[in-house]
Amino acid sequence: MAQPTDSEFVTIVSDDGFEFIIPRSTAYVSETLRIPLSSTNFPEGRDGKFVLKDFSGVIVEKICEYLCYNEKHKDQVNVPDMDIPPELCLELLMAADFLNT
Amino acid sequence: MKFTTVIASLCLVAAPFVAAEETTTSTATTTITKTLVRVNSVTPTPSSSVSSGVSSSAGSSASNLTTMSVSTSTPLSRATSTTAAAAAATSTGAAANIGAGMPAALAAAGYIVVMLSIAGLHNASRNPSTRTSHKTVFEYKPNEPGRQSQEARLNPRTEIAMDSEIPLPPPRRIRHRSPANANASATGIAVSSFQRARRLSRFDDRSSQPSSDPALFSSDDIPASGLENYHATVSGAGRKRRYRGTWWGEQVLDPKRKRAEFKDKRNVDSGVWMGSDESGAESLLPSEDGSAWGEDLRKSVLDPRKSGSSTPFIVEAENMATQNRVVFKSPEESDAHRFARQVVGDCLDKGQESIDLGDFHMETIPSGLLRPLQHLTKLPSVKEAPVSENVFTSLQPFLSIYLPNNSLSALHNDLFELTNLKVLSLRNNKLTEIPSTIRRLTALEVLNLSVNQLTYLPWELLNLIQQGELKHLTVRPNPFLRIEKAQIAKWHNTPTNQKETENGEASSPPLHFDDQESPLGAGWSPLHIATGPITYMNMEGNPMGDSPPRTRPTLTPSGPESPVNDTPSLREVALRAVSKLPYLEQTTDEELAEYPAMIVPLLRRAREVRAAGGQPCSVCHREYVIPRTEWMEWWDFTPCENGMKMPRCPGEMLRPLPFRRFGCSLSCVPRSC
Repeated sequence: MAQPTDSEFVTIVSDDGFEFIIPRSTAYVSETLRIPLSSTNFPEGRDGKFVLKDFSGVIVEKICEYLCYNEKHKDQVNVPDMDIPPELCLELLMAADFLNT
Repeated sequence: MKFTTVIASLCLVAAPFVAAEETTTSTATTTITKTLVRVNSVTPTPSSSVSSGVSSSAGSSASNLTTMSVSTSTPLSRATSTTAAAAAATSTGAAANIGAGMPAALAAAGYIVVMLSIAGLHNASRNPSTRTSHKTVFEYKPNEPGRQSQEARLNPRTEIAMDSEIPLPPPRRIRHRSPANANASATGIAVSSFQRARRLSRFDDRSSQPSSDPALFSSDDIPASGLENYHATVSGAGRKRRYRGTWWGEQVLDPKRKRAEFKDKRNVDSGVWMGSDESGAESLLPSEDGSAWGEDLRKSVLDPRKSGSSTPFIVEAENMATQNRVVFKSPEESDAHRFARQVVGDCLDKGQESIDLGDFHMETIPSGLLRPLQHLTKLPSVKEAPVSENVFTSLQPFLSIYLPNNSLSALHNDLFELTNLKVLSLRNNKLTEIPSTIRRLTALEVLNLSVNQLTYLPWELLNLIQQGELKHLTVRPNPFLRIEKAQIAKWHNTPTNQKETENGEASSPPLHFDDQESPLGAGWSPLHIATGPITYMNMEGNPMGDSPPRTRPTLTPSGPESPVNDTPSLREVALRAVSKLPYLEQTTDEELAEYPAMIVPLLRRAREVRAAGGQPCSVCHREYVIPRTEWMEWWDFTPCENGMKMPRCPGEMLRPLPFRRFGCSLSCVPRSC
């Protein structure tokens, strides 16, 4: 049985069922995502699927965008600002607290 | 003589219902209206025998009228009309009994009075269709079968007027009373309830001063009612002569109390436009008693016993206004703040460019105190005629604000909005920190921060010295961090023998100016002496790792365990978006407390940043909310201190001062480190 943990991508699922497939390395930006996804002791690690129960699809999409943004600009000096719609910023703040990023 | 009039008109009352002639009917009914209204007001007066006699006879004579109004069959008025009819029936039986004060007759009279008075009021509209409807009503009268032949004259418009029960506007007071319209008891007014009718009858009290039509009888006791007096009365002071009260001299207590209501109803469209209405009546309305209107209103407001429909609201509004004023003015506005406001206002008025707010014992700068000074303009100095060339000077003020000897512990952001501020003195206050917002005072030339509780200065102040105009900085005495006791990560001004290996504790720090290796002009410019250790902070702005939380001097810094990442955290990204929210500044602490507890401090910080107008990172100059790195730098700027206008001499003792500096990301650290 192939270990899903070795897969290059992981799936982030929102509360309302949207699934976002992102590179594993980007998901590891967040401590909250990295620990379950990297271990086989967690169901998340076995399935390669993490459910963000508290956040809707719009927020999870923005979270995934940020994870990729972070990964992309990891070692750069002049990082361009990421665009956040004002209506999402408070929920993203909550998400940031949850994801510890 | 007045009684004679009454009785004469009462005699005429009988005529209309026998004689079929319409004009007689209407005029007679008008008289009844007038008479009965008076009778209505009479009831509480002592002349009961006369009044009851009058009213009973009026009741008997008006029974026909009552039935008439029953025939209008407007649903709302039916109850009233029926009651009146019943009462009138009883009073008909007792009609001969003149002297007896029968209550039933009185009651009937009262009801009829009410309805008739409404009718009188309703003439105001001078509406031809209304008039027609009156006729119609008469034709419905069951008591006069002979008149039913006239039913054929009903036109559809009349029907509409009767059926739709439009609540027509109350009369425009007096001036519309026309005898031809007097018997309008069947129009839409009958709709109104009894109470409303009673209220409206007040208008009728005053309606005994006609304005337009001539008096019908020569014995009429209203001299102004004649056409010949029309212009004379109107042109007097822009208002007409009017009576208040009853015909026997009783004063109506508050004749104009309903004025507000009347005003409300004035705009109700009667549906019919009459040229005379517009030109005559409407144009007079504003001037009619405009002066008395406010007074009347105030009277009704001030008198708590009077409960007009509009009065309670006005009272409330006035109370609120007073309360607001009180709240705005008195409680926390201390004397010092008031004086300060006076001084500032004075300077603004006179164009004085130097504002002395010293010795006021202010603990805070009230908001809004300094903001107007942005617009301070000097007054031209030309006073007399001979104008020489040198009076042409800039009106741009040399703005100076002196706040010495107060008890300020924090500075209001307003202060840093004054971008043309040249001189600022904060001597002898209780400041523990100078906000980095001071970077916005780019025109600042003289700054006095002595005798405060400062332990360090904002790094941005250094920019004002290096790039701005700041030439005269007084900072001592203050309990600054001593470079001898602070931990130094790196010495920058290592003249001869000392290297980075030493920590500054083992050997004496290199605090002597060495001219040899300094570039040209170094004798003037600030000199970077040393840099303290870096404190890294986590994503919430708290010191990371084992470093002691926010105590200065910081001890061993704990570096970031992950590779240095310049990318802002998601928190930071979101907070930057938050700090650009349009309504953030108006958010109060109570509103903030409704958010989840973990993000409240972050939001608060974002609000502070917003209030300060943003804060750029001292390294990468990008706007940030949460600092991630922090360190001290020691700089020497002795030439600028105390206005000394001489460069450093070689070998002179350096007296570096601590400047606190922030970075926005973990990679925003001193470059040479």
